[in-house]
Amino acid sequence: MTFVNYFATEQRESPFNLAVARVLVGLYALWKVDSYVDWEIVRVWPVYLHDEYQFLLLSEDLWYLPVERLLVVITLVAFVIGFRTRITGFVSALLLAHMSAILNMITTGGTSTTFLYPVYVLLLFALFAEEDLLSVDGLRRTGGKSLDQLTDKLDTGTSKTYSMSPLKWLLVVLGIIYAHSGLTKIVDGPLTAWIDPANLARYLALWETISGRELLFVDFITGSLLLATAVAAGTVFLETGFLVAVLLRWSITPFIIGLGAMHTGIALAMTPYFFDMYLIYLLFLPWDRIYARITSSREITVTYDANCYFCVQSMLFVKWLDTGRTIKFVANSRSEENLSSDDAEPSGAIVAVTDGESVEGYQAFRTLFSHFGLLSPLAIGMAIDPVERIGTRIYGRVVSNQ
Amino acid sequence: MIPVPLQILSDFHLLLFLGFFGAAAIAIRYHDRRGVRAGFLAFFVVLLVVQGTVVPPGWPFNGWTLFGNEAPTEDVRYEFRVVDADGNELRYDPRATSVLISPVSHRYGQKIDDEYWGESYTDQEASELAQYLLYRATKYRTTVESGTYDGTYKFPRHQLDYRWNEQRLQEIGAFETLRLYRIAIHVSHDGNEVAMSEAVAWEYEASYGEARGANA
Repeated sequence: MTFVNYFATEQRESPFNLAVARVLVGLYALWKVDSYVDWEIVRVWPVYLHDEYQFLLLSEDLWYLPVERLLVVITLVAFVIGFRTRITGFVSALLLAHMSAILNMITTGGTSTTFLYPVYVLLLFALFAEEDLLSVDGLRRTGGKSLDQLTDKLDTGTSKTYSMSPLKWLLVVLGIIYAHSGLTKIVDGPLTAWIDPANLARYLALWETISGRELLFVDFITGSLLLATAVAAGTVFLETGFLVAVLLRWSITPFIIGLGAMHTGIALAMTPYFFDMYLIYLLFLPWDRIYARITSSREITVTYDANCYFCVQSMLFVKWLDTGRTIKFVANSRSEENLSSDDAEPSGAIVAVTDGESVEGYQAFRTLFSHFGLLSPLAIGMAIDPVERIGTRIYGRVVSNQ
Repeated sequence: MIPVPLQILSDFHLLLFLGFFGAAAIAIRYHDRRGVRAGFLAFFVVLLVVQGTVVPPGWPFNGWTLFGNEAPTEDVRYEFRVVDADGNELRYDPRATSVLISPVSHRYGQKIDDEYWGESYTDQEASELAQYLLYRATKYRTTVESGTYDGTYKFPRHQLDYRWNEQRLQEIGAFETLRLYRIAIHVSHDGNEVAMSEAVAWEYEASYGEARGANA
């Protein structure tokens, strides 16, 4: 499995990865808001370390902070489901930036600066919201399209590709952030002094003294001149090389694995300072491929009524979820033969054929859901008696109203 | 980086914060006009590059430099400790405030004893801080002793993991004083030998009952 360099290949065959990234980032930001910081303590904190962002305080007693926290939770939940992403993405980014700026006046370092990652990602998603189709917004947007436009997407869609611009630009942002860290070591260190094994030994000795704690592997690493030099040089190489790999469209996998190993080494020897980075790396996994693997590999042929708006719209979403391309969509010309007939059977609007077995309507949806690994619990629920009875009736209503 | 007077820096930060989010809002609103998004992305990338290299970093940006300089051989660190009536000392557990991780408490110490960011605290400011830290320490202590402290989701901790436990707390009475230590560290060039010396730089004694006080 390899991480995707979206700067090299911006296009995917389904909008799936963007939806996964959106959900992950939203949940990450939600966790961030409440994981570490007790905002009540921030609110009543008596003095600041520096006054740089005084203009952001707005009022001395920060009475609004609990309200702001609640508001950011609401906008983030909306963002996770992809509801009005332009607004909810922007507002949650702005609120997170504001809250973390106040936090930064109290506590500098990773506790506050790691808030900037979700801020950047949220803004990028807001900026390219129209690309994120597997979302509530996507549902609303397809609702505004004509039947012809939707049918067209469903039919010719096999060759269609989808842009992943937020992930592309996030890679550039991440590359620059790492490069800052690497380049400073080269220029200010300077490099020759920084990769001297004695430098690493002094850093670690200082850390052990300050923390009063014996760090793991320190003697092992500093005991070998070669190993200590390799660790230091490797750090500089990975930090500066990541951006180069992104921009030159190389594979980013070796760099992400290398940087991940570096963060893991730090976590084992000290404490997981860079835990957030693992969550960011997750965004670059090929989720569509992984998902295709857990999706059933049996093939399904779906015949849908090309005149039924609900059918076409829902099949478009099914198509986007079908990252393994196991489903074939066939428009039903039923409409032509039954054009004058008023009593067309609505339950036949969607027919799913798999292994020679054919199911219709509500049951066809159930078959499709159970086909996708993640949605299979939904399919099991749909088979329970009252759900099935009510579901079938609702389905009949919806289809006949088209 | 060029040294910048504080007032200009503050104005620069205001301009940067409003400018960045203003530009983002415009780019998001007018995303479908030609060049708008590309323009914003260029602006964003330039800001990311120059922050901390050409200009001092300002929110929502950071210097993003980690251990860029050569490790020093001489270092001074500040550390807070809580003290009981008998003079027993205990290093401050950053969990008491959730935000006062050790590199940060070092900066607060620096600002009490010396200067940080070009300024030092007045006596009153330092006392207010100490009073609050004692209050939080006492409050946090009860959660450790009763086993009700829940830090499950409170990671990553951006500091090395020193923490109080029941055993450590048994050896110390009610916290009455907050003491600031100035620790001078000397590390030999090869990192093999460490010498340190510490001295009390400042202390704050709570008046009766204050440390246990109800003022949040």
